[in-house]
Amino acid sequence: MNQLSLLTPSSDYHPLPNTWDEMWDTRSGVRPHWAHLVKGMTRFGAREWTERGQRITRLLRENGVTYHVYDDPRGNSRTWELDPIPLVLDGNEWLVIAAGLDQRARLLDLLLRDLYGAQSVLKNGLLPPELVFGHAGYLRPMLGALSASPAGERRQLVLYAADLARGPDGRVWVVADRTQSPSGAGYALENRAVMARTFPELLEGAGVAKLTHWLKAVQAALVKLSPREQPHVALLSPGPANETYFEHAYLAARLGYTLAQGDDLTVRDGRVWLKAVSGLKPVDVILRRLDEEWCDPLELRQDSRLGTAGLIEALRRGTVAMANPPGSGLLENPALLPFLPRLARMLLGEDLALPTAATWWCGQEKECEYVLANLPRLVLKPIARGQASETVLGANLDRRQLATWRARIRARPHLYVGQQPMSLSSVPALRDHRLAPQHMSLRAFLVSQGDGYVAMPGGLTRCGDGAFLSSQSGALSKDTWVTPAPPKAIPSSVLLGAGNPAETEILTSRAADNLFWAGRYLERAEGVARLLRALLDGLWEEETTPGQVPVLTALMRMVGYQPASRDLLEQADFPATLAAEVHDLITHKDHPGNLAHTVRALLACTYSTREYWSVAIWRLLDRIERDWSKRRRNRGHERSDLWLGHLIDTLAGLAGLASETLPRADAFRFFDLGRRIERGLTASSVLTCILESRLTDEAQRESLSLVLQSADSLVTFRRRYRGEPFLAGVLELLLWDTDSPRALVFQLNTARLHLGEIARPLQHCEARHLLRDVEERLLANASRVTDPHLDREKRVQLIQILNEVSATLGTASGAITQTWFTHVQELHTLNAGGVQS
Amino acid sequence: MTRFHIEHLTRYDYAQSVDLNYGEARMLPRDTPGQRVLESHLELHPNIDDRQERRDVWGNRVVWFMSRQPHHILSVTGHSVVERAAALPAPASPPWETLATRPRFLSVEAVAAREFCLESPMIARHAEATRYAGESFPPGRPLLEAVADLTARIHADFQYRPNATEIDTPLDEVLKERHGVCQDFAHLALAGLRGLGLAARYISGYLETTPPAGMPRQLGADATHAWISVWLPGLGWYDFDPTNGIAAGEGHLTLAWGRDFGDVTPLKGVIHGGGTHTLQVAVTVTRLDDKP
Repeated sequence: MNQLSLLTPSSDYHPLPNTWDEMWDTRSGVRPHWAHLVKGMTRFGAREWTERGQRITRLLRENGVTYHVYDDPRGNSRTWELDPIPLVLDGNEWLVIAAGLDQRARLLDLLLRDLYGAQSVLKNGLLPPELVFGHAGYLRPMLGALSASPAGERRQLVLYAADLARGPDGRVWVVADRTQSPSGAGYALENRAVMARTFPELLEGAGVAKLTHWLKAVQAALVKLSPREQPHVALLSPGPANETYFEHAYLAARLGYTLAQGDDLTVRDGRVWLKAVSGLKPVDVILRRLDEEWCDPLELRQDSRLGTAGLIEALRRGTVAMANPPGSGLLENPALLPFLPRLARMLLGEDLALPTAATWWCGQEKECEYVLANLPRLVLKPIARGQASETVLGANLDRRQLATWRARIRARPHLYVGQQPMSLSSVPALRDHRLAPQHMSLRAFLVSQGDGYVAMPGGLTRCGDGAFLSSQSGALSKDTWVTPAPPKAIPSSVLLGAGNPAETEILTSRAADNLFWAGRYLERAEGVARLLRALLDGLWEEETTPGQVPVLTALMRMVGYQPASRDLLEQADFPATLAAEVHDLITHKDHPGNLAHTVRALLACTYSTREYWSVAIWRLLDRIERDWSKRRRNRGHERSDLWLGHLIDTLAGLAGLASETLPRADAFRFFDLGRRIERGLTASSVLTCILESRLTDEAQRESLSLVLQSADSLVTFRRRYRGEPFLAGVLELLLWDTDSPRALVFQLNTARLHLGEIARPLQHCEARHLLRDVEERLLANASRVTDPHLDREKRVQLIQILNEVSATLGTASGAITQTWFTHVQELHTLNAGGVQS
Repeated sequence: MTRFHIEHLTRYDYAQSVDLNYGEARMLPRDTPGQRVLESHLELHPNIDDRQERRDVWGNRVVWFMSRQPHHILSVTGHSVVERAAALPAPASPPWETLATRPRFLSVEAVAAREFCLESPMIARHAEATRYAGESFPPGRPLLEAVADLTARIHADFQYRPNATEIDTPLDEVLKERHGVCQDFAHLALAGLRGLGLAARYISGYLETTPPAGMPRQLGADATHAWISVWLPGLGWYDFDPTNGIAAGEGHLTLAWGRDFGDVTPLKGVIHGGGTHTLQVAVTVTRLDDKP
């Protein structure tokens, strides 16, 4: 394959028979709105295609666009897949689609407010009651609550998404409505960003509608939900374990909202507050990405540990607004589809513009009979998610399965629909270096604006081989180009002020906690890796020199290995035993304290705070992750040395970049505080082991040289003292030199300064005073060490002080946790008042 | 007309301090066609920082509250005085099966009643319960007569045994063991009636603790009681008590209704801290006077 020519599909692209192809018209060839793209793409040779494809993969991975869950011990990793060929939609057709979606969203909003209010559609017989009362998304505590919201009688369905498909006749159909907490907009935006970097020449001059405008409309819509001029908006996420967490963090960062989880919020005095390090901050608007039934363990699912008790009451009182409000999942009921045309006429006085797949609700007798008689020709769907059965294509069922479905529908007819299968249009995609037609669907995103809704021009296109598409079943995604760009649907006056960043960034207690521990784990990983590397030579020869013993001991203590007795250090085969243990440290899977555990914990902490990290930092984290997954194959001294060196460089680069990019606000301070505390602990531990050891002069020189090496301070030492390492000099450099970023006193001092900056009135944290006291004690002892050979008494005294420093750093860490971090108390739900008897 | 004084105490004793407590109480009675609430209030300890009364989706009275005061004991006490009309004799009712088919046009009340024909979180369709109930429903039998018969049969066939069951005892177990408490008998009757296509709801309430001289003390009078109500189109809801095998009478005082116990739990809570706990529930219902 030299050239992938989209212009000569006869040789390279074979559209499917009896299928509408988005690009290729069987009579006239390439459709006009594809011409620009097709022409541009024709220039690329096979190598070019491969390279661009690799660039896309790399960018997505580096930007962290994954379904990956770092905490998942099984290491399930699903990187987002983006096809280099976008879907191109004609701008004029798009205007018609967008208008149809706007109408649909307006209808669904009216319906939502009615169903949770007067229920006139039920009373007037426009909807059968079972369709609502029997749906799992009908949240009874929300009845009457919507009109209490700050938005009052106005719009409740703030965000709306629809899954669209094109039939063989070229008409665009609505396949499903997404109203509960529509996802995917973040992925669509990221797809565009990646395409813009990969194919700048193709996007250039193509007149493709820009997407960022739509984000501003989202901001404007959320601001309008609150009576306050500059409301505080939080994005409520179920947390990093959720597979679309990337999108939550991405949108929070792009929109300038605080990323929060359920226990970051608390309800007091009838309103919602965010637990921030600077105290409780009122929350006015919540962009909800937590599934509705998990929002409040008091009034919704009692087993939820993801929500906030009292949230529903706050909504009922109208002290907080939510987009979308709990209960909006009711509109995702496919049984509504056949009733929508009539509802549109009755509620809007309009005919429904966009067609939907013919749907039969089994809750009606005649419809049920039809479905039962035509099972193999229909798509069978439960009316709500999470009910025992999934959507299936009747044609794929065998006799036994058909019988099961028949029984299932007969037992609970109102819970199922049958639907006419949609034959999806096709679009060219790059599969295995070849152009192949793939079935596609498009998710469109709308947000409330004024009297109607505005659509993101484009959306998230997914394509695959089968009739059912979803990201979870391995479908490929595509960027969506609307061209020529339709006129902007939002007057710029609406957007003014919407995008202003919050006056001061609010750091949640949870984020502070994770940043602090990211600092600690980063420093610990680097410290352990440096010690390992310094020792590596000796270890591989399996005969350890006496000078290595104290350093080894320190390392073993750091990773949580406590030798049974002091005598062990003197045993002849001790170093060999240790060597085996240390070797294990590199390859060993997971044991609290060791390198594997520390690196994994570091990745988890950074992933949980990913809205704080720059793209460059994310790239380094990605590299650590990839290197780490390769480590088991690295055997042998040289490879390990290289590998450790690589890891150390990356970790050091990470620390440097973080310090350079995090603004000097609380986020940086907690991160650096963690690093200083951990580095202080490492220094105390290593130097204690040196002071405890009894060595010949020669062995001590070796020992000290390893210590300096592991602290990256050998060169500094030589320049300053112009000679071989000696104890008093090393102690001066690594304990008392206030100007050295490696010295213990520097860590204590810096930590103290951070604590001073973080502190707010009424917040008392004893850590600062403790650190000051121990820093003074350390410095008081500095002046008295002049003798290059420390006597026994002096050593004992110094060991004593280092122990105090260690203990104080531990206490300080605890005190910081107590003062600023989320302490989630054990939570219980009580459900009773006893059995009724 | 008879007036009753009700005192309903629910008390939690926690092993460890509770620092934050959110609760929802359905412990204040509501008005019904035969019952008027003359006075009522809810007493809460410790001090409550925030409380708000509202009506839930079925018009029951709910008190939402939260406390930030660290405490080891939470006590919630409902004090009420209600006036109850004597129960009227059951009216003539049409054959039950004419009510089980779905009419084309529904009144507003009938629309609301449809909710109580469906399965609910604690009461799934149950073939055995439906079959059991069906024995009382031969073709042509008037609805209320059939329900009265079902009620009497449950009382006769099942043994009342307090503490025999947990909150969520499955119907299978109740049917197999043939014993349970009022909640189980109500759920059994509801599963059967709904299985037959009828609208029936769960009633949470009280029984008179000490009946007038010469009258037997009824089962389930020491705690909150539960019974059922069945929908008769055009005439309204009629209450039956399967635990005692009778139509609900003057001594049945209604707190709240819903699809099953889960909708009318007297006290629900989310607490931070607390550890293990013990629960105490006490109900006293006293007859105040009889007015002609």
